Amino acid sequence: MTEAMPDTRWFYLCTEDDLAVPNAFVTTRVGAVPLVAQNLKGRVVAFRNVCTHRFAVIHDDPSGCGPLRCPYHGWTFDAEGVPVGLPFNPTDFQLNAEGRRRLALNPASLARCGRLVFVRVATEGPSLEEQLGSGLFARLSALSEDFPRSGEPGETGDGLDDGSGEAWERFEAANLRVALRPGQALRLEALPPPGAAERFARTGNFLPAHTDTERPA
Amino acid sequence: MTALFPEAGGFLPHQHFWTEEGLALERERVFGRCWLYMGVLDASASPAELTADMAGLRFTVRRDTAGLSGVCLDGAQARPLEVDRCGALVFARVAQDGGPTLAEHLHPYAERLATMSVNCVNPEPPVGIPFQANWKALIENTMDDFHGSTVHPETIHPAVHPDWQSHLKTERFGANSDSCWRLADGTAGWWAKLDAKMRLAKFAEEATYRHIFIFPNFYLAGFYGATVIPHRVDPVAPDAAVLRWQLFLPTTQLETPRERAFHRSAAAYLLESATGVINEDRPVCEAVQQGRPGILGNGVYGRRERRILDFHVAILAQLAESPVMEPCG
Repeated sequence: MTEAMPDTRWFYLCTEDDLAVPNAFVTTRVGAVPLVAQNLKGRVVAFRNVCTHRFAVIHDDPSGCGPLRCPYHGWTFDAEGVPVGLPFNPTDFQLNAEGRRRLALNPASLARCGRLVFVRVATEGPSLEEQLGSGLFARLSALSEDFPRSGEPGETGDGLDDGSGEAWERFEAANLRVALRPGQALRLEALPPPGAAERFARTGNFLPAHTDTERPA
Repeated sequence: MTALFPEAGGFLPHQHFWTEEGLALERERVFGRCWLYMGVLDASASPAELTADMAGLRFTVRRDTAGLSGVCLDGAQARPLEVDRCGALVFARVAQDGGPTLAEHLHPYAERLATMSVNCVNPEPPVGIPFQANWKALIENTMDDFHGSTVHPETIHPAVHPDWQSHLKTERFGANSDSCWRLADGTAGWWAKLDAKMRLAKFAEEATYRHIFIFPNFYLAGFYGATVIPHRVDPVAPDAAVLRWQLFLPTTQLETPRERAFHRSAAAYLLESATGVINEDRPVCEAVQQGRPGILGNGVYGRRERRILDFHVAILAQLAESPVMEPCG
């Protein structure tokens, strides 16, 4: 994988929890291509975050909750990317089903590694597991399952130097910097993909399903 | 189906909206060649001067005892300008052999523009609003009738007649066009009260919002047959432009301090309103600038969006022309 070919690279986007409710969305940018992953009626799908009518970015915010609706002319898209809400269609477009399908959003790729969601611009290419390698893929997947609860930095240790003297293990996967304190905390720092602004950087702190104090005796 | 899926050659390739190469070609063949709106000369200033910066070219038009003249600075190279007027509106182009006269360039709207320009009196200070978007995205936006309810739900949208399918008339002639939208009853009533108070000078009895576009980057907006607002979109960079405009609120009553105070107040309100509308347009133009490099298709154009393709076709024709032969001398 080279910097010159980012379209076929997978980039960490968010966790499944971030897309758990209908209309939840998370966006990023890879090179010149804005991407969005969104929960549409329970299906989590990924598209180029660009309206096929007149090319406006649909969701400007890095994350949020709202219909997949273009702010420019109000075109609204379904889980197939097909425009279903199309103002003035009867008078000014008269697009039938085939015409609407021609204007479906450009698809992007979405893959999961455990509870972690990755996206890619290209619709075809190596799988996420192939990019990460099966060992790293399996480990990241397991960690995401072992640390399912979001925590505040204070709960997982402020930064990575909390003075406790306990060592953090660090490794990288795609655009993720992973820091692990076994059994206690997982910290995911996602760097913006190439071409993306700093506002697309994301940091998550995660805790085990049960802390020591919560475990049954 | 009234929607039009544009064919190759019928629209500008997307990269013209963000590349240095696209802007360089436009500098040479559009802004270095076409008639361009320069402004309205202040009748009280003598000598008077208008300046404009477009795509790296610096235009200066002067009026002195010898009349109107001008120069275009292209880096270190100075090229003479042809300067002409349409009523109060001053246009210029880099001097060249051949090409249309100003009247031909404005066809068929020269007479209508001249009539409207009579109202270019009582000027407010010029305004420039920067957009982080290619200049053509602003032009496309201004020729787009569909975004009122989504982008301007509390400003322009309720100000014009809600039955816009019946009360919006658009003429197209090449890349030039004229759209005329009947004002909503409430808006027309507001203008009628303003008229009763100020005795507006009117170029026409029309309770409309009129919008005449002249290729490549000029449009004249008019309200109620009285107020006129010339607009020009100046390219600054492939992804940056400035929308320049000036409000004229012509009144026949501007003698007493009370009348002048009322005029100032009305003009300030209109300036604020117009600025508000433009500030609503800016984010969507910038969203298009951000989105266009990521699209794979060519979009679709509805029944009322053909003017945008007219503009694309005119740009393509202009870019395809051979280099200008500059006059000897």
